Amino acid sequence: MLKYTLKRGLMAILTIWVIVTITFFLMNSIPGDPFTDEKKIPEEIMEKLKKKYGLDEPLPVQYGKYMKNLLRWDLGDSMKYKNRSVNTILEEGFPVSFKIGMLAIVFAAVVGIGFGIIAGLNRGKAFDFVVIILAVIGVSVPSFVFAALFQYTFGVKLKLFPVARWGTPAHYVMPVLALGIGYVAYIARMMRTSMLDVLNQDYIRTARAKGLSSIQVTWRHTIRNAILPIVTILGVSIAGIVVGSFVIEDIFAIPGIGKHFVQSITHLDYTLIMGTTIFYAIILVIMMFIIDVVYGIVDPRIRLE
Amino acid sequence: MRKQKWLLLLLVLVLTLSLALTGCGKKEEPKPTAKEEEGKDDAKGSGEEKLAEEQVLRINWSQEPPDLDPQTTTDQVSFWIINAVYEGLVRLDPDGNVQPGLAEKWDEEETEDGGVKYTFHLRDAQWSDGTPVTAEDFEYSWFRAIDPDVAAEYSYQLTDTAGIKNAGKYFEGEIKDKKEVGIKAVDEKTFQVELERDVPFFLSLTSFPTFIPAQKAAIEEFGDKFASETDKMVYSGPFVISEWEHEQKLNLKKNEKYWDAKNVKLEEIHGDMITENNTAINLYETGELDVTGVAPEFLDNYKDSEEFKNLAEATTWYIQYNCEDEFLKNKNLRYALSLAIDKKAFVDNVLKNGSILAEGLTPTLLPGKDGKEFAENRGNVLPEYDAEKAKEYFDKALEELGTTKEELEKHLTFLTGESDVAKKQAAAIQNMWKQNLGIEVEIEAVAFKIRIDRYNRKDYTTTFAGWGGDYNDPLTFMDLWVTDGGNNDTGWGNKDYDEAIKKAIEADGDERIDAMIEAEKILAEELPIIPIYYNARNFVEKPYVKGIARFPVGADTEYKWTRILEH
Repeated sequence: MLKYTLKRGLMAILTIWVIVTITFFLMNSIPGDPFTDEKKIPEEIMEKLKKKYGLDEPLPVQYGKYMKNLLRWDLGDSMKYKNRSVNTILEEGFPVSFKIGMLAIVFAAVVGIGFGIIAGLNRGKAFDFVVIILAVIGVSVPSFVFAALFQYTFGVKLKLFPVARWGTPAHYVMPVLALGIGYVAYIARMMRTSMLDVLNQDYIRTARAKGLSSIQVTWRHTIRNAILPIVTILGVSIAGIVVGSFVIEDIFAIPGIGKHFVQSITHLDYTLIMGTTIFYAIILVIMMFIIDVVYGIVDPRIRLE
Repeated sequence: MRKQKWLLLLLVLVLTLSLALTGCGKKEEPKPTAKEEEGKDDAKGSGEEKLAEEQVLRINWSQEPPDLDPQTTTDQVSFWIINAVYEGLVRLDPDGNVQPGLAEKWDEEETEDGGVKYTFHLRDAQWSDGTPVTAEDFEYSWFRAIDPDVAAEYSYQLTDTAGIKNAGKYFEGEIKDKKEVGIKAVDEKTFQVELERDVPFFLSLTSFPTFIPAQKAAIEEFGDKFASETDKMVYSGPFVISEWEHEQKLNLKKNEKYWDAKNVKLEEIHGDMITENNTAINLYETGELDVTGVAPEFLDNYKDSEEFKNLAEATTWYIQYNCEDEFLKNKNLRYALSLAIDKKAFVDNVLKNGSILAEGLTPTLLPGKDGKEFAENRGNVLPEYDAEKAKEYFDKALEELGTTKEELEKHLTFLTGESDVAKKQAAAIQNMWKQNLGIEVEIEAVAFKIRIDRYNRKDYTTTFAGWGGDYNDPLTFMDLWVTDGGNNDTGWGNKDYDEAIKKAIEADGDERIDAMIEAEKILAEELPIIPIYYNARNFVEKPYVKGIARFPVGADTEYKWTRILEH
C-alpha cells in the first residue's frame, strides 16, 4: 500500500506539473493581456503595470518564478481584483462550492443508485419506464434550465425558497437540486444498465441455485458488483462538481469559485487562470487516488500492489 | 348651504381645468428626458414627502468591485461605491451642477503664462476615523494619481484632460521636484491647483474618482492591502462600507461624521453582487430589490410599466473602418458602406431597447452653448440612408480601386463581439450591405480582448465599436479621432480636424463649441466611422424610491439624496 501510494503520489505530481506547464504557455499565447481594455492604456502605464506583475520578463523567466512561488503554494495576486490574492479568492470561495457540490453529489448518488436498482430489478415494468424517461430528461436538459425553472416556480411564484443569495440552509435547496438532477439521471441510467449486466451473469444464477434468498442475491451479489462503474463516475463527478458550477452560481448569486473558471479566462487574469486550473487538477488527482483505494475495498479482485 | 355648493362647483372646475391643462401641456411639450424628470421630481424633496421608517435601499452592484482605490480604479461598479463613500473637492447635485464638496469655496485667477490657478478652501470635514481632511490628503492623492510607479490608468485625466501644470512631465519622469507641479497644499485647509490652460469643465472633473482623495495615513498604513477589506479603508463621503463579503454583498451605512450628514436621509444601502439579469429581475419581482437594470430580453415585459425608466447615456456606437486598409482608404467605399445602413431601422427593429438614433458622434446630454445640449447645437450632420446613392458610390469606388465586387467581398470582414446580441446586430448590418450593395461581408465574432488586440494592430477592415464619455464635455468624444490619437484605431487623420480639436482645447466658451461642431462636420464628411446610436440605460425602480441621481458620465449613479417613501 505504501509503495503504491508513493508511486501514485509521484505520478500525481508529474501530472500536475504537466498541466501547469501546458496551461501556462497556452494562456500566454492568447492574444491580449490582463490590462487590455476598450480605452487604450498609455504605453508608459502599460509598461509599469506589466512590471508590477512581472509580465515584462521573458516567458521562461516568468514560468520559473511562478513555479518557485507555486512550491510555497503562493498563487500570486489577481490581476483583475486589485489587492486580492488568488489564494484568498480560492480559500473564500471553495468552501461554498464544495458544500453545494458535495450535497448535490450525495443527493445524486442516493437517488440515482436507488432508482437504478429498482429499475434494474423491474426491467420492462412501469417503474422502469418512468426511470428511463426521467433519466433522458435529466440528462438532456441542462442544469441552468432547471435552475431558472426552480427559481421562478419555487422562488418567485410559490415563495418556498429564497430566489437567490447566500447564507441560510434554505439557500442550499434549489442550487443543490438543480446541480444534482443531471447527475441523478446519469447515475440512475448507469446503475440500471450495470444491474442488468450483473443480473445476467452466471454467478447470480449460481447464487439463486444455491437457494439464497432474493434479498441476499440482490444485496451481496448484484448490487455490490453493479456499483463498481458508479464508483468511477462518482469520483470524477465529485472532482468536477465540488469546484463549483458557473451557471448555477451565477443564477443563484452564490459566492463560489465556479465563475472564476470561466471569467478568469475572459478577463485574461493570468494568476487566477493558473490558480483555478491547478486547484482543479489537484482535486482531480486526489479523487482518482481515492477511487483506486475504494475500488480495492469494493472489489476484492483488485489488489493495490 | 348655497354658498357651499358654489364652492364645491368651483373646486371641481378648478380641478378639472388643472387636470386638462396639465394634460395639454404634456402633449405639447416634447417629452422631458428622464434626467429632467428625475431632477424635477426628486431633486431635494418637496418637503411634503412621508419618509418610511426604515431608510434602507436595496440595490444590485452586479459584481465584485475590482478596485476601490480612487486613484487606480477604472470600472463602473467601483466608481459607484467610491462616489458613495468618498468625496472630492466638489460633488454634483441631482441636476448635474457643481456644488461644494470637501472644498467649501474656491477662487479662480489667471496666471501670467495664460493658465488658471484655483485656490480651494477646504471645509472642516472629517475622515470616518475622526481625523480632519487636510489639503495634504489632496496633494498626496493627486500626486499618487500621476506617480509613474502607481501606474494609474486614468492619470491622463490630470495630465491631459485637466492639463495640470507640469503633471505630464512629472508622470514621464522629466520633472522630479514636486514644487514645479501645479498641485500644492498651501496650508492645512488650502489646496492650490494650477492648470496650463483654462479647462471650462475642470470643477466638475474634480468629482471624477481619480481626483477624489484617499486618506494619506490609510494608504501608508495599509500599503498593498489598501481598500481590499472594510477595515482597510477610511471614508469621507455620505456613506461608509459596513459589510463586505467578497463576491456576495457590499453594504453601506450612513457616515455620521460626514459634513453634510443632516441631508443624508438614507441609513443603509444593501448591495448584492448578482451578475445574472434574470435573477436580479426575479428579486425585483419578489420585492427584494428596489431597483435593477432591465436587460434587452425583458424589455417587452417592462417597457409599459410605470416603474420602468429609460435614460440616455453618454455612449456612442458606430461602425468603424480601418482607413489604412488598401480598399477602405477610399472615401467612396466608406460612403457606400455607410449610406447603405438604414440606421433608423437598425435602432427601431434590431436594437429595440430605447437607444437613440445617432445624429453625430457626440451623444445627447453633454453640454453645449446657449444653455442647450451640444447635440442640439450640432443637429443632424450625418448622411441619410440612401440605398441608391450608396450603390452609386459603391460602383465609383470599385472603379477607382480597380477592383471587382468579388475581390472586395473576399477582403472585407465585419469584426464583432461574441455575445448573441453582438452577433445579431452584426447580422443586421451584414444583411443591409447585402441588400443594398450586393456584397456578402463575412462576420468575425471574437472574444473582447482579442478584438481589442486586433484594433491595436489594425488587423481588421470594418467593425462595430463604442465609446463612453469620461467627463461632461463633448471633447471626451471629439478628441478621439485626432491624427495618431491614442484611441484612434481607424488610422484616419485630417489636418482640419486636428486644427478644430486644438481650438476646442485651447479656446473658451462658444468658440470651442463651434470648433467641435466643425469637427463633427468633418467627421461626417470623411466617415472614418459612421455613428449609429447612443446607448440608453433601462431599469425599473420601485415608486417609493426617490432621489437617485443619474449622470451621463463618470460615477454616474449618486445616492446621497436618495430617500425611501412610506409604502
